[in-house]
Amino acid sequence: MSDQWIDACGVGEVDEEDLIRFDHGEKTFCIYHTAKGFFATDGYCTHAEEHLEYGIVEDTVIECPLHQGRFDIPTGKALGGPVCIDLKTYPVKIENDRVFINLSDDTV
Amino acid sequence: MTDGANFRDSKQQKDNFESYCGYHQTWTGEPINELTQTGPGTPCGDYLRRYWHPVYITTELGSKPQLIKILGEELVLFRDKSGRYGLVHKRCPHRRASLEYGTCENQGIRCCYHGWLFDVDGTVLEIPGEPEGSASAANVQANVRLGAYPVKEYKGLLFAYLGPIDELPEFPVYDTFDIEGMVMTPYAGPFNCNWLQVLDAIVDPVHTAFLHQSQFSDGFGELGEIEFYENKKQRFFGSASRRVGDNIWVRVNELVLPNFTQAGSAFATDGTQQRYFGRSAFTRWVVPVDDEHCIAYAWGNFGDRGDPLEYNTPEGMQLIEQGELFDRSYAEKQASPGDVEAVEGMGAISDHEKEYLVSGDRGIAMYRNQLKKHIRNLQKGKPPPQPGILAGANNGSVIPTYGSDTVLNIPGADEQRDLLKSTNKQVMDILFAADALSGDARDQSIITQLRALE
Ligand code: FES
Ligand code: FES
Ligand SMILES: [Fe+2]
Repeated sequence: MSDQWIDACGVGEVDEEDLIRFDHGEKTFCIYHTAKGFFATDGYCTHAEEHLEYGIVEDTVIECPLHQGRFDIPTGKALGGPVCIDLKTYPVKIENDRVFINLSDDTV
Repeated sequence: MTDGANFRDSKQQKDNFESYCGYHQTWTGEPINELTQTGPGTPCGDYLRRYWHPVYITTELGSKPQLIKILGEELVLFRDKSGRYGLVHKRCPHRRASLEYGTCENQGIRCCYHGWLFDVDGTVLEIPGEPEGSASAANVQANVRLGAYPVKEYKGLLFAYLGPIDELPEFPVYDTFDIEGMVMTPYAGPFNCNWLQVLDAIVDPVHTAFLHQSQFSDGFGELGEIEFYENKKQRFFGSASRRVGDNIWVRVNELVLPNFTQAGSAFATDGTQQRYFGRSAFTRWVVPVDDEHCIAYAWGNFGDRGDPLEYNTPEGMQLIEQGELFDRSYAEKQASPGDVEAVEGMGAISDHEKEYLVSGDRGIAMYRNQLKKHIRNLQKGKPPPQPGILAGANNGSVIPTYGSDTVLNIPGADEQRDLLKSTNKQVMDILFAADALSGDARDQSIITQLRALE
C-alpha cells in the first residue's frame, strides 16, 4: 500500500504531556504530545483492552488507567506493570499545524 | 467406614489445598496518596481548595461558634449577631486560645481569653486589654489578622472557599438548585474513611446491582448494560440500562469534578412505571474532613421530579444516602450492608495498590486519572477548570445536569443486550444534545424526545 497519511488533529488540540483519542474507521488510536514531540499508538492497552485515552502521560511514558501498565510512547515498548506485549506505534508528521499519522504499514 | 476410606478422604483433602496461596500474598499496599491526601500544602489539598464546598447545615449552627474540620484544617464557624457568617482558623492570633470558646458579637467573634474582637474577614477590631491609642494596639491592628475564609449560605447549606483569595471562583449554580415544585432538604452523611472511597461509588453503577439489590427495588438488582461517558473531561457518567418487564430503565449517575454528584432517584421508580428524566435523589458533594473522614453534604430532592415526599424525613434521607439507616448494630450491618459498610470496610484509607480494576470500574479509572491530571497541572501553575465550563451556550452560568431515571416502554427479550445498549446511548445522546437549552425548555425538549423513543 502506498503512503497513507491521515489528518488526526490540530497541534493545539493536544496539551503538552497529554494525549487525545483519535478514531478512524473501525480503528482507534492515541495521539500524544510529549516534550519530545508528537507520537501515535494504538488506542487500546495490550493487557485487558482498556483504552489508553484516560491514561496519564509522564515524559514519554503512557500509564494505563486500569492497572497502571506502562509503555514507552515513541517505541510502544511495554515497560512494566502487568503489560508484556508492546503497543503498536505509527509514524507522525506535522504539516500546517496539523498532526498526520501514517497507517500504510497497518495490515488490518 | 473402613480405615482405608478415611485415609483416602484426608489425602484427597490435602491434595485439594494446593491452590491456596494466602501465605504468599502480601497484605497491604499503598493508597493513591496523590488523591487521598487533602491537608494544607498537599497537591490534592491545593487542588480541592480551588472550589466552593459545603461545610455545614445552616440550621444546625446555633448562637455559639462551632468547631469543624475541613480538608484537614480545624476551623471555627459562626454567625455573628448581625447574621453574617464567619469561618476562621481555630486559634486566636494573640496567644492561641481556641475561638470555639469565643462569643458571637454584633460584628464578628470575640476571643474568650483576652477579649480580642475579630470581624468575619479576620480583621482585628478591638484589643480591649490594651490602653486606648497605645502603640502596641495600633501595631496589632496594622499587622495581625485572623485567618478567615469566605462563606456563602445557600438554601440551607453553608459553603466555604478555602483557597487563595485572588483565585476565588464563581459559585457554581446547577440546574437542580431550582426546579419548580422540588422540595430540597439539606442533609449530612458522615463516613469514617477517605473521601475518594466514597466518591468512587457514584461512577460505579455495578455496585447498585449487588450492594443495593434488596434495598431500593428489584429493578436495582438487575445488572443491565453499563456505559461510561465524559463531558469536557470535567464530568463523568456511569449509565446503566436494565430490563424490567416490558420497560427499559436507564439510570444516569454523574460526577462533576472534583466532588459534585447526582444520580437517579432512590425510591421514585422501580422500573415498572414509565418515567421521563426524573431527577436525582440528591444534589451532593463529598467533602474531606481529614484524610480518614469525610461528609457527604447534600440536599435530598423531593416531589414529582424527585423522590416521594414521604421520604423527606431524617431516616428517609439516610436511606437515600446509603440504602440503610446510619446507626445500626453489627448484626444488622452484616445482614444488609449499605454504602457505609462497603466503603469503611476498605479501611480508613484504602490501599489502592492492591485493587484490581475490571471493565465495570472504567468510570473510576477515568475520573481518578483526570483528577491526577488537574492536580499535576495545578502544581505546574495551571489552574483547574471550574464546573462553570459545563454551562451551555445559552443558559448563562447555570450548569445543566444529567443525574436521572428514564423508564421507557420498549418491550423485548431479556437476551436483547444490544437493545439495552442502544437505548442507553440514545438516552445519553438526547441529554447531551439538550445542553444548549436551559430550565423548563430543556426538560420539555428532553422529555418529548425520550417519549419518542417508545
Ligand atoms: S488494561 Fe492496561 S494495564 Fe491492564
Ligand atoms: S488568646 Fe485570644 S485574645 Fe488572647
Ligand atoms: Fe451505593
